[in-house]
Amino acid sequence: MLNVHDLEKRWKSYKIKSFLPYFIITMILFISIPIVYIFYTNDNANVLLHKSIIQKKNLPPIAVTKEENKTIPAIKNITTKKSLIIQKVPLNKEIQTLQPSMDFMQNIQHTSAQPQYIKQQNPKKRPTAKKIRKKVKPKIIQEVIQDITPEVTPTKKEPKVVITIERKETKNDIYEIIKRFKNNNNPALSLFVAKKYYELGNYGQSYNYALITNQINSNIEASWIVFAKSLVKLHKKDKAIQTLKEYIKVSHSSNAEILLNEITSGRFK
Amino acid sequence: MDSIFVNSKNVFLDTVNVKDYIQLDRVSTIYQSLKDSIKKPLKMILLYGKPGTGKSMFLTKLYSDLSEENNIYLYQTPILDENEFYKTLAQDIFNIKYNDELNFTQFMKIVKDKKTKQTPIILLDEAQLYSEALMEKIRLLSDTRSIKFIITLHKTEKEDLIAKEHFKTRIWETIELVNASNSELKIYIQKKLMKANCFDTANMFSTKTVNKIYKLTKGNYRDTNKLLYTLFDIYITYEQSSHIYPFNTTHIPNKFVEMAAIHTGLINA
Repeated sequence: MLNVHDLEKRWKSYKIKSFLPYFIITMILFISIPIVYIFYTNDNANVLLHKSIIQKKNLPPIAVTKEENKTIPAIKNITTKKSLIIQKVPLNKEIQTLQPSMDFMQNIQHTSAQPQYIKQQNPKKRPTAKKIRKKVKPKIIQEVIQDITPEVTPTKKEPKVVITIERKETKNDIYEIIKRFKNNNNPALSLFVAKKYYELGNYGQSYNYALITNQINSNIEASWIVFAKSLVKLHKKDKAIQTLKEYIKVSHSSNAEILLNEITSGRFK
Repeated sequence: MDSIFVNSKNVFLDTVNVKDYIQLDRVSTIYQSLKDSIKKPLKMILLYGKPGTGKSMFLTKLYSDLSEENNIYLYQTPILDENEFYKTLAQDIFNIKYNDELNFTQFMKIVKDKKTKQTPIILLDEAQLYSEALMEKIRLLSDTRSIKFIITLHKTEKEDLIAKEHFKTRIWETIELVNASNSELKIYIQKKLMKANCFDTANMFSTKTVNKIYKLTKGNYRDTNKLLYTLFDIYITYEQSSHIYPFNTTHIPNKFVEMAAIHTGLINA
């Protein structure tokens, strides 16, 4: 007869022994997986934290406030946010951070004088001026913000604005000069307008302004040449030739002679 | 009436009995080749394999089958004393009884003088226990072709040396016996039980159970016999004791197999 009790005990201890490695491995896995996961996630968090710290270190203290204010969506919220910023930032820090803001003040003053050009420049710099201002002199800030905030929304349409810059500049220049010409009747300005219109292909206007220039001062060679060229372009070749001939008689201008030859020979059309 | 487990247990008593010989396909092929080799003019036949692969059973079966027709002698227990060895052979083969010492030279003379009708076949089991000197003399005896030797060896490194170097130059037949495979083990167990009319217990050995047994015994016949003997002993113990175990005759629980393995030392618990 076998001692079954003893054999069963031995069998139980054998089973425990045989399952022990699997149990240990399973336990190790159960323990190690969360540890690794936590370690990994912590590591990532640390990396992110570290990165953010580095970013904070790299940026001046103003940068933090800048980012907060960049998110300002509309003018209505500005006044409330202003007060919040003032509460958060201590006075000592304000003094420190105020130093660079004076440049922005200058920039703002400069840009406010030429509102149309502001759009074409980097609009990101603008909010920094706003915020710094807010901290220093609340009253000034209000004024500045009112000036600038409308420009925040157009920044989205930046490419379109940029495309039209050149043409606007030229036309604006002409209008500016015309205004100035109307004020002082300077033939140099009218001649400039005439040349510009000729370049733009507006030969009627170039003819008019060249004629005006000649009426003010009939001794300007360039004005007579633009006048003649404009006539040719307006299909009044004979009148242009006649005008040049009369001018050559008076002035003996070599440039006028060259142009006359070109017109008569048909090289200038 | 004995329990089915008692009969099944007795089937696996580790004894070398020709009646217990189980004919497996591979074993029967080897057996047939051995029988064919005996008919050939070979001096010696070497049967080798690990302990428990059925070498002794093989020799016993061969002796049982050929004893009626051939002049065959089986020595299951080695005769270690050289003088005693010659005297035993002289008495068994030539029916000459020596009271005094009989040395190799004298025995050789007897072998040459006393010719028999049939070449006597000497089956020596556990030949690894014979001394090297005696083994050399057995080789010399086999060279006379007056006596044919069939010897069995345990397969160890040393015995391989004997097989490969010492006797390799002679005209030898070497047959290796190996452990059973999974399927062979199942056939072996079931055939053995069915031979003893234990059909119920034979059906309990499913492939899963046999695989478990194979894992423990590695297909060794002796270990399997020991394990199954203990297994049925456990069944009997549970049956006879007050422990009421829910016996299921469709399969053998792994617990019982493992308990039997612990008891037989196949599992170190």
